[in-house]
Amino acid sequence: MTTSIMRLTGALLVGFITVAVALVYWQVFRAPELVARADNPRLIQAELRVKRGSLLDRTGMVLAFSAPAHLSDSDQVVFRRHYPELAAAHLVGYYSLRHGTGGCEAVFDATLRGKRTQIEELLHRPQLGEDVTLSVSLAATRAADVALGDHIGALVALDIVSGEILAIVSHPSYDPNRLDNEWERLATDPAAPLLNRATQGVYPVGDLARWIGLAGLLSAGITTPPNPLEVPLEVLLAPLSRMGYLATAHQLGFTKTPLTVLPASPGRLPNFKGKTTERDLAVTPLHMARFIAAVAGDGRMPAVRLERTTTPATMERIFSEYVARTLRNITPKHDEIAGWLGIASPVETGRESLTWFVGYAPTTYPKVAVAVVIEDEDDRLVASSIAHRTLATLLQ
Amino acid sequence: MALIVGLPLIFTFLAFAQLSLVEDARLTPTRFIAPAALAVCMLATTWLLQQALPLHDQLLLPLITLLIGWGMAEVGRLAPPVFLQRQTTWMVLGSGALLVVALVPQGLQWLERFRYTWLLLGLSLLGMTFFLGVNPSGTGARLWLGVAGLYFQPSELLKLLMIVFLATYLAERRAALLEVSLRVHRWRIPHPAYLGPLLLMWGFSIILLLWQRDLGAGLLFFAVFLAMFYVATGQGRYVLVSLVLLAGAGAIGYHVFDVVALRVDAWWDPWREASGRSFQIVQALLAFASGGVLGQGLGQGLPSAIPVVHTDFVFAAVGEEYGLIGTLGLVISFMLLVSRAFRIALCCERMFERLLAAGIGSLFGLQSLVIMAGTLKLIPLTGVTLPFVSYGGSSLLVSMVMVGLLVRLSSRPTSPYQSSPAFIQGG
Repeated sequence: MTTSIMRLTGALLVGFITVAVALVYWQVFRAPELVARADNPRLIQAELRVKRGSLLDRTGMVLAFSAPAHLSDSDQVVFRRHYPELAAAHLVGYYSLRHGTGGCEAVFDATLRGKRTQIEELLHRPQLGEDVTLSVSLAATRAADVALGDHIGALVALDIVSGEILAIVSHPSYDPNRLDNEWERLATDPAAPLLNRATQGVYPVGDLARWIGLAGLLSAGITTPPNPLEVPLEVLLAPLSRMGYLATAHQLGFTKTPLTVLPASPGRLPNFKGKTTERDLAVTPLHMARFIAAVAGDGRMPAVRLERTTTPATMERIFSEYVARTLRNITPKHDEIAGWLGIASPVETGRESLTWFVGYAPTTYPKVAVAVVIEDEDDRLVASSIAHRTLATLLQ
Repeated sequence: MALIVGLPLIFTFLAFAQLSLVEDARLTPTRFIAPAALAVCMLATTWLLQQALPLHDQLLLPLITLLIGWGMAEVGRLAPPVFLQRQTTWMVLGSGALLVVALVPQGLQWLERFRYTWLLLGLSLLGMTFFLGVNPSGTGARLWLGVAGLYFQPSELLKLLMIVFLATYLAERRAALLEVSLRVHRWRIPHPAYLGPLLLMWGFSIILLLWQRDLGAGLLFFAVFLAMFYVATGQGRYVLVSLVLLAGAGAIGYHVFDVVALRVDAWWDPWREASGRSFQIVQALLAFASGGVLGQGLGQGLPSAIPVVHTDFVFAAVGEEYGLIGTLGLVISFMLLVSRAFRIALCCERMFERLLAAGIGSLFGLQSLVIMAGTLKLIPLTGVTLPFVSYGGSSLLVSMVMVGLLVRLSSRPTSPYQSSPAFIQGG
């Protein structure tokens, strides 16, 4: 009987040792992998406790901030993200537990979240993020938002010298405060309110093919007619082969995404099959804004930036000062604003016409470049008036 | 020596202080009612036992003080305040019961003499749950009987009564079981006349339990029966045959009962249905993992992500907030408790007392192993409480009664912890 008691004790002790080994396995060896699992509720809890930094416009106006909120079933302090300026929705983006981050919330996520040291981790101190001052001007954004009104389209404004984004507005828009509730509708809406048309919308250039062709002709040193805005497009572009036109599009940066951090699209080159022509080259408003920024900036194209900064922009020379000066000289001017109007017809769009306005201001010492595109609109003055109203605010 | 009981009390007070600082951001006096009650009960019990039975096992009370105090801190952490009040009430009742059992004047004959009465009492209480059973949480298996706001689970009491019955029966019939045997082919098996009543009683309780879908208790009864039978007869082949039968029953249960299939599937591959049927075990493993070695600190993890964490999964909550250090501490405490019980068994002279101590040791060991291994995905999960630690009044009360019995058994004049005049004179 003594033997059987000893053996039973031994068996139970082996059981306890097995449990101890399993504890070491789960709590030490498998722990890093398990803790990182997406379905770990602690990650959400930790995320809710992060006090994200605010996003500010260039003058310090608040575009996004985190404020304490209470969850119904716990008394832990958690933070909720608020977006007071709906006009800046596409640029500011969103921060959602369910749908991730978008816009500048995604670009500056690391800074906004902040970092925690090992000691703070151990002491369970809440994570504090830093504020980020964006280059965007809230006043100009609001003006552009009002000017765009019910039109479907987008506007982008760029500082010619620093490459800073001054305004990005895209319509239709959405309310980032209500993103979680409305996601289904927003994602399936045929008008694509979540799409940032200023950086992601790829539109045929239509009439603006003339200005791309002119840049190509001048860069190649080919003599242009004395009245380049009046001759028919085919006649003007005849000396520039199709290959030359495509090379120009490449030179102007249309085949690249102008911005790597925000969701942005590259342009689409025409394949010249069937009825496609130079007018079918498709680009985003941001591509066009950079093109005219180079025209206004003596042939140097600034790298696009989202953050307010004092360092000069990295410039890329895309054509000579002579080409830029010649293009500026023939650009129509009105009220201190120079710019190109253009329409892409249903032949190119495949639906209704769309209207472009691409310009810069002031005419003498250019500071701001702007590009506006309006879908389903053949009144060429709509786009230019939206641009005018935005530039008026920006240049005050 | 008796001062060792102060160490787990200090641990408990510190845990409640930490809880108060984390949750109220200050030291709230009302938070300390529960640990103060524990201190009063345990110091008084220790002192009284020291007076009456100076030679009892000195490690038992400090060990269960640690486990109960830790458990009360976890209940305070994980469950609404009323749960801690109930647990404290049961702890006070349990201390009283422990003292009564340990200090009954005429030894333990009262247990031996009325063995069938005890067993029938347990079975009829369990049977009553068929008609009068309630579930304090409103829904779920009706395993409780309610009296004056306190709920009692008869299957917990049946565990103790079953051990008492088996200890008396096996002690009396041990010789018969070993010697009077039938030959079947090459095998010698005990005579059915002796084995019969045993299997009948045991089968009856198992059926009652399975009927109520209390798988954990069923498994535990089976295992404790097996352990005591092995201690009494020393025949390993019965254990082997029974384990094969258990595996067979498990295989049948897997195909017949949904609840068995669910538990086995969730054990074999929990990751496949991590957000569905194996949610609980996956969340428990995540809690262990997030605790790491040092733990998150009491009140600072998220063990509430595990459903019913304060009863079946308290071990995982300890894993998250006390880390590996805490869980290994619990494992070692149970190892010590179990080895003390078996040591007491070895020192007892009478067969009944030996079997009783060994049965109690087996129950503590098996029950803690079943739930700890279950939460760690070593075996399929079955809902039993972690003795002393989990929320559960009946379990706490009965466990404390069993410790009372161990205290009594450890202070027999023949145990080697002592050299009392009685031992020398009485030889």
